Amino acid sequence: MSDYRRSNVARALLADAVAQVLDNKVFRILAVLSALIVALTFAIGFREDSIWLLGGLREYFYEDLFSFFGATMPVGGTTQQEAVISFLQKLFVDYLAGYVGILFCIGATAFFVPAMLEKGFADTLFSKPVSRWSLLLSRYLAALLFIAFLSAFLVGGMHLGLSISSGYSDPSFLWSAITLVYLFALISSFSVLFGTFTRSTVAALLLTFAAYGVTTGVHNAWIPIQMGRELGAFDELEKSREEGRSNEVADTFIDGLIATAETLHYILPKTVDAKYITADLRDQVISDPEEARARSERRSRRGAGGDDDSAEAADSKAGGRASQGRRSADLDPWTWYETKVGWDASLPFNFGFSIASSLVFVGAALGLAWLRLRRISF
Amino acid sequence: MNNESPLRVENLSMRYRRGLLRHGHQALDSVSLEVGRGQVFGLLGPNGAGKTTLIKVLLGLAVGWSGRAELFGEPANHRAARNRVGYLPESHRLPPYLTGRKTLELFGMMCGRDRRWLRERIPVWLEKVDMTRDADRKIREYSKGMQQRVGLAAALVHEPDLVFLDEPTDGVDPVGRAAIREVIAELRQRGTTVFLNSHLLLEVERMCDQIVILDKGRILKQGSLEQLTNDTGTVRVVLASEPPPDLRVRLAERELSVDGLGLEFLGEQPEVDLVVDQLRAAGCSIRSIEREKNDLEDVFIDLVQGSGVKQ
Repeated sequence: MSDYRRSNVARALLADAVAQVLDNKVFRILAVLSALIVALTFAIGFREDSIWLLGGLREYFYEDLFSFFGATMPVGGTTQQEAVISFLQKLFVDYLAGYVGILFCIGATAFFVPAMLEKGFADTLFSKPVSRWSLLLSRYLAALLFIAFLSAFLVGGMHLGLSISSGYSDPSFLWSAITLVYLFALISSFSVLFGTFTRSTVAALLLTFAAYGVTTGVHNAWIPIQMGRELGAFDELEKSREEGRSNEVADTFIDGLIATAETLHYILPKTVDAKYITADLRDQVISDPEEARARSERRSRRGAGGDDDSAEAADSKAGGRASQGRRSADLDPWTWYETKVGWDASLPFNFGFSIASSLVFVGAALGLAWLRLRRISF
Repeated sequence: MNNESPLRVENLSMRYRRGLLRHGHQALDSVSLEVGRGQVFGLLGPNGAGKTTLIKVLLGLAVGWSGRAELFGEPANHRAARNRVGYLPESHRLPPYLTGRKTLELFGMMCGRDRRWLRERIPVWLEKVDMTRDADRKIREYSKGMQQRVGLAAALVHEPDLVFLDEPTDGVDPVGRAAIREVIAELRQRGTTVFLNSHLLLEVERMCDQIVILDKGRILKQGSLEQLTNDTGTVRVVLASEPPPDLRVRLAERELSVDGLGLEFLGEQPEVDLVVDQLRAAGCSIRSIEREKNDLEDVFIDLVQGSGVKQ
């Protein structure tokens, strides 16, 4: 007779999580899509001045391509190669994987907990000598494995492809994979929480999307409030209150909104910070201090995470005058926010605080789910 | 191994509460029973009697019960106790993404067993439930009967000391049923305690040493098959040849009549002895004598209908 060993249980839960992920159709579709993107980075090489197809079989110069589309070559601190590659990295990892991919992954993993709690399956599973907490945690980890496999494959594969085909190696890009997992870990905690309470995949999915929307909205509302405070935007309001010129109902409403946004900001996971943390970590990986500084400045000029508005767009908002570009960026809450956040920043803007408070939320969500699970009779 | 009872329940009550007003129904009402080591214990009852609830309480699947429930001397729902238990739930579902073989490995490992140890035993269990040929197909491709057979093997692969089988032959063809009965008989031989919950009275009658009849959460009767299926008081005598006419007359005086070669009467042992003496004295050869007994179905229906009338 073999004895009971806790390590065997842990191994079983892990093996089950992996099997569940690999069997998932959405996972397979996303894996195929990632493979296509990775294959592209191997097939197409972005060299210093030109694009190579299949190891140089065909060559297209950037200048010709830009002029073909009636565009001008970007100028500034970046080379054409770096500009094109960072564009591709942003397109595929930040946008496709970071937004669309994450939503797909939520959709694909939202059923993990409700399926575990279904009659028939729950009886079998929960009668085993495994705590309910371990089973719940195993489902959460299964969801994390799901995204970890995909993001490691996509980011690692792209990095390898770009290194081989384009001769361009940017190890800082690898941080993107970790950030994708981090972002998903935050959102997936909602999915586990709602899945346990509703025991319905559809309800858990809809509520998770709603919660993700609320979290993003709250954070995006909190940033302008903080900026307004610092730049004295509320001074006029305060003054009108002191002079008795304000409407009491409107004041109460505005105060309520601000207080709600601020409270929720501190409670909810700070999903929006993920991209700022990635950008910062990527800068830290650059071994050349000059290059790191240049990147940071470029990022700062481009706007939030370097992806929302280009410096040119900022200029055009300010009336197309380059001299006013910086001022325009200063008035952009997300650019302002980017200058405020960091590892040494004050508490509300501190990356460490952002990560810690978000992880506290994840712990609280999983804890609540566990408390609910303990009370369920199957 | 300790000599503790595999299963002991005292005054166990459970009320399911649902909705805002917490209305509910009494699933178990002061149930007390004890199962001895190596017994095959049958739990009978109509739908909604509380049979499955009793198992769920013992396995920690139900919460909000009161009373005492122990497995191997440990409080029910204690993980250490569940380590020695196997369970095949009614209408169970297995992971559709695994093969039959992998399912056995997963469930065995979830009970803390080593992979290597399991890999030696899994083929044996697959053979016992006649699933060797389909062991490497995914569960989602299995028929209900195949899932039931793999489910049974999964409940037993870690070689538990106590097994709960909730409708184990549900959806299984006659050949599969025979195989399952054989497995249960083998478990009994090995000293494994089996707690069998079934609607099929014939199965319970064939396999169980002890039987409990449960209805509306209360135990109506419990005992061995012998104790439950008591005498009706009727004695049947079958003769080898026609009795002589004068014997018929003497029997008629005692209000007994012979129908062909059969004679049936109500009586205790002295009455039986008297009739046998008369038959033998008249030179009648007796082929057989037997006391009529209630079968389990009669007992079950009488008890459940009686319980309904009382309620």
